[in-house]
Amino acid sequence: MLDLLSKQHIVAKEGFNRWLIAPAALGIHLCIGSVYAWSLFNPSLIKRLGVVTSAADDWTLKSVVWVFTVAIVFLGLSAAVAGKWLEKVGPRMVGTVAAFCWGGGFVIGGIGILTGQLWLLYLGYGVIGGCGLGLGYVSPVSTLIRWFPDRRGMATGIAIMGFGGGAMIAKFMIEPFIKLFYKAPDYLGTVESVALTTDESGRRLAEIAGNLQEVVIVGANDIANMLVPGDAGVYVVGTGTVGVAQAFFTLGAVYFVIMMCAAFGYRVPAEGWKPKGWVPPPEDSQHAMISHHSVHIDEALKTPQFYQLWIVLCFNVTAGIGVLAVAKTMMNEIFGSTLPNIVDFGFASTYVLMISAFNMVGRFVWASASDYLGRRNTYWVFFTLGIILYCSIPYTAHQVSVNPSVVWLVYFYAATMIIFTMYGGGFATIPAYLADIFGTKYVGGIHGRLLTAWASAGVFGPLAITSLREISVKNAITDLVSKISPADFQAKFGAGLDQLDQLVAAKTVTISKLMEIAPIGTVDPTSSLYNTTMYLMAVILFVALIANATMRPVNARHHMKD
Amino acid sequence: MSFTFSNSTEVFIFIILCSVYVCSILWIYGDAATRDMGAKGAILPLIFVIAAALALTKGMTWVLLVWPIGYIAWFILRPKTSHAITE
Repeated sequence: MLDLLSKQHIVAKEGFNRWLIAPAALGIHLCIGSVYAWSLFNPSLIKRLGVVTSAADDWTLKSVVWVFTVAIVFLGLSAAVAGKWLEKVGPRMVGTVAAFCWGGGFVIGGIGILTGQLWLLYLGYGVIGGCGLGLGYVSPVSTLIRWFPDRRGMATGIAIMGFGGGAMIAKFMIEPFIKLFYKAPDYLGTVESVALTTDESGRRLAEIAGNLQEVVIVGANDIANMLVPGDAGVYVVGTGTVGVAQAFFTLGAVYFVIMMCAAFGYRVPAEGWKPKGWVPPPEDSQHAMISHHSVHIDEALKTPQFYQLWIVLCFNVTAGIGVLAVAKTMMNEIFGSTLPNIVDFGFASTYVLMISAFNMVGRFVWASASDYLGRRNTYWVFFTLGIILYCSIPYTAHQVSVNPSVVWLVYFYAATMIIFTMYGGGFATIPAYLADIFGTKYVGGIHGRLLTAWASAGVFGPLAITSLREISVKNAITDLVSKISPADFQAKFGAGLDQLDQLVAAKTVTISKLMEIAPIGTVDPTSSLYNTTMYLMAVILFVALIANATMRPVNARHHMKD
Repeated sequence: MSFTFSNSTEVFIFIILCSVYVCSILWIYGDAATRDMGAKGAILPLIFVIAAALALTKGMTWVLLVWPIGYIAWFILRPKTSHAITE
């Protein structure tokens, strides 16, 4: 069995059609790319107990967003380790192990959701699934570069395009599965018809059959964010099912089967194989950035070029991933409150779908374009345009809060979509950039190690977004409360201002609920929650721009010698 | 591990410092490989990683202390000669 997976077993015979590798690579990347659809799980995971809205003991958005982060960290770490192993055992073995990890990770994660054990979700989806991501990600890249030395950018663009498109496919499975297994909790009636009390921890309680039970209240502003549309009013906590665990089990099985089929489609070219009629570019000043020499995996770590590329990848991804991790939430918070008739649950879901579509298209288009533009010039475009777009988003957010016009929604939509094409393009172009700088011999291993940049970005991006958002939310709530009379506050929440911290922690007090009792003319602060984050991302992109601009060929002393 | 940031400048500095840290560990790992250090070459960077993780739990000041100490220790402990990797 192991022999069937070995590198020697999959050397292609004379006349093998190299284009057959593309669907296999695409298949694996489409499955693991579903990690980008993580934000589709967030609304369900934070309502695991409350189902219609978050209950006091439900997981917070901050705690579940980090599952995605852990998966990305383990993607980078496993890719760094597996890169060298891949060169030894070949892509089929690595692809098979990836299928077991990714499919198994979903199953373990599902058990964690079912039993309310957050650590199991982290272990399953984050750690084991993350290893599956890393192994699956690197498995076809060096193989494709060797099959397509004439079009390195396009070849890696095809495979990595699948990673970007995975979330788009996943959307059509995740939402129907969640809705299929969803069961609404018991409905008690409207807020006016139910006698409610608030305990000292800020929870809302109602008397049911002589017992006080925790309830959640769905307000008028919350209806648009319900997973399955329902009535506003009071629901009993712990009596429904959000359906996400069952969706995890089903997805794990589907991905496992597809990835196994794809892994068995891999072939590697024979030693010294070249496409018919292809002549390598000459060693002249015009092609100075394309090396004819190879640099060993370990030696590459001693070159400044590796760290310049590390910064280029890490900061490009940090900027993109930070927005990606909470993309749907961001759309809801910024535009959901100002344009509620347009930005509802369906709109936000389509937004995630479009992120995935543009991320996918960007991977293929930018990577293919880099074959003609040159890698360094391609990254120049990413960073200069990215800085302009990130800086413009706070202005858009401010304008929409003052003048809720669709124009600002369109601009925001377009700006973020361009950002995501460049985010995807950054990933897809980097293997070809590495092959140009370090040669093709060890590009798989070097690429694996460079993916530690992605793992680091997986921490930086969400960290920046969630930390800065938390500060902004706290400031906004304090500001709003200062404008509301204590009597109105007491009537709305059943507790005084002295309990504000507990009420916020229990999610009883939120910006949207405070806006319901804020004086007329109060500007909703939700739209400016991400301003500082956007400016920070622009600064980070500037650092990456400098790293890319100073890129030079590797010093000859690092080249491998016979 | 819990970090509290009060503004975006602090987050930016944190990102830059963490990047320097990760790159330092990668460089040491590559340096060890070209100095024939065998298992010792893998273990020493690992100590650096563990020290970094422990320092992170204590806060930023500890991170800033551990990084230069780890680097100096590396330059003292590593073999004096290196070689290019050949095919």
